[in-house]
Amino acid sequence: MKLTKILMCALAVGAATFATSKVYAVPGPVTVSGTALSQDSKGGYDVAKKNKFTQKILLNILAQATGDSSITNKKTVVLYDPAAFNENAADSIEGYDFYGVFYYSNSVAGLQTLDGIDIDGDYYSYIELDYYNWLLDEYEGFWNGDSVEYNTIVGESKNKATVNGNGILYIHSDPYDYDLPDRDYYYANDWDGDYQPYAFVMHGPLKYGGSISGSTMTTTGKLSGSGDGLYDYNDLVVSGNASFKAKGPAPE
Amino acid sequence: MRPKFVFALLLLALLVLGAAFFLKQYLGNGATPPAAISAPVDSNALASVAPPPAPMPVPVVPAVTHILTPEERQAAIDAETDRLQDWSMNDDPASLSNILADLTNPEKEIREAAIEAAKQFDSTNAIPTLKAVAANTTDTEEQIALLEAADFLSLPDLPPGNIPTQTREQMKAAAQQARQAHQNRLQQGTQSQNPSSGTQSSPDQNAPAGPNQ
Repeated sequence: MKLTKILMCALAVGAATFATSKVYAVPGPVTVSGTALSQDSKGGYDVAKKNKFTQKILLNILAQATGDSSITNKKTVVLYDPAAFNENAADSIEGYDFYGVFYYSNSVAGLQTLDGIDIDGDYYSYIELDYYNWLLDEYEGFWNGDSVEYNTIVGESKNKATVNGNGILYIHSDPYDYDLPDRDYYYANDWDGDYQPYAFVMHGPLKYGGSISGSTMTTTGKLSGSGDGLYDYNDLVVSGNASFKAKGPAPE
Repeated sequence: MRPKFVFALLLLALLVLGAAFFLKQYLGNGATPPAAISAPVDSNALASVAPPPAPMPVPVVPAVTHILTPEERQAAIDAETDRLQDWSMNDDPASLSNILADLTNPEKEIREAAIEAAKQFDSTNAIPTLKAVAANTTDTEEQIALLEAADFLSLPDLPPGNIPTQTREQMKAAAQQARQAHQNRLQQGTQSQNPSSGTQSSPDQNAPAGPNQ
């Protein structure tokens, strides 16, 4: 447990460093893949149709949602920085601290955040990852103990800690359909008459960890799960996984 | 007294000879050149289980001739997983070959990244190699992941969506309306009356059409 504490202290120092300098971590790539079941019919009977989805579909959804066609035309990387304090969300939604910022990057658009504040001062986002980050002691995304589990089981070795918990990945084409931390949360369905063309949810076990190697700290995570989906306004049941890897200078 | 002296002298001589013989044997072995500690490796050359894919992998990292420190080892793993990420976004045979070669990399972290990269590359050409590597893997979890990846690649793709984006005002109004409905439902405690369940009375048949429908 001593090693974990040391790592936690190091990570906390790193987080504090980030809070002041805002250059603590380098956002790392996010990758999603999985399968989607949709309703079909054959011979007068309902049948399930199974398709796969990869990162290309995520990019397609983001391109449709943001209106930026460069996301699919160029080689685009979706990036995530779990340690970043989300000022946009914190400024527009009072009473909560938010961590974790998503970006996309390509040769045309450069580095763009996947959330922000519109001209009316309202927060918007296209993707969120909600979990309690035990390593950084932060609430990531729109984590809410009523909707996302809190318990964590930790494994450790030299300069490395791995945490087993749970999380939610929510990708949505309506940028105002983000989850809220006050139990006003949404999934990718039209239960409340919420019709958005594209949305994916994956809710399940999340394994994440931090390791320090020399002067570099690496944060990795993998979420495996299932949930609702909407695709061209059609209902889906999806399952799959999402992984991320972010690097940054190790705290001194 | 004299025979005793001769006997002691002979015994001493025998001991000296034995010691000399032992030292010769020992020093002789010690002078043998030591075996190589680590074989030269490159980023993909550590594959040892599966048959190599058709196009030969392109070596990326220069040969390593010394034992890696934990930091160097982790850096090499990170560099290779970064390359796998790049290759997974390409569409050329060489990239696929590199990805498939890493399925048998000695580093588990790289092998796991290679499986995900093979899925992202999204080519059915990877299926035979994934199955072949699975057949030669003793790690049950990895075997399952390899076979699942092969199964995954055999599925048809979800077609690219082509619903154009709505206006920001439309989306904001839709979200606000849904939030209000959500709040009303929570207050009224009508969670059990799910209008969306079932396929026979799909909500999409009765609900208002989407903004672009």
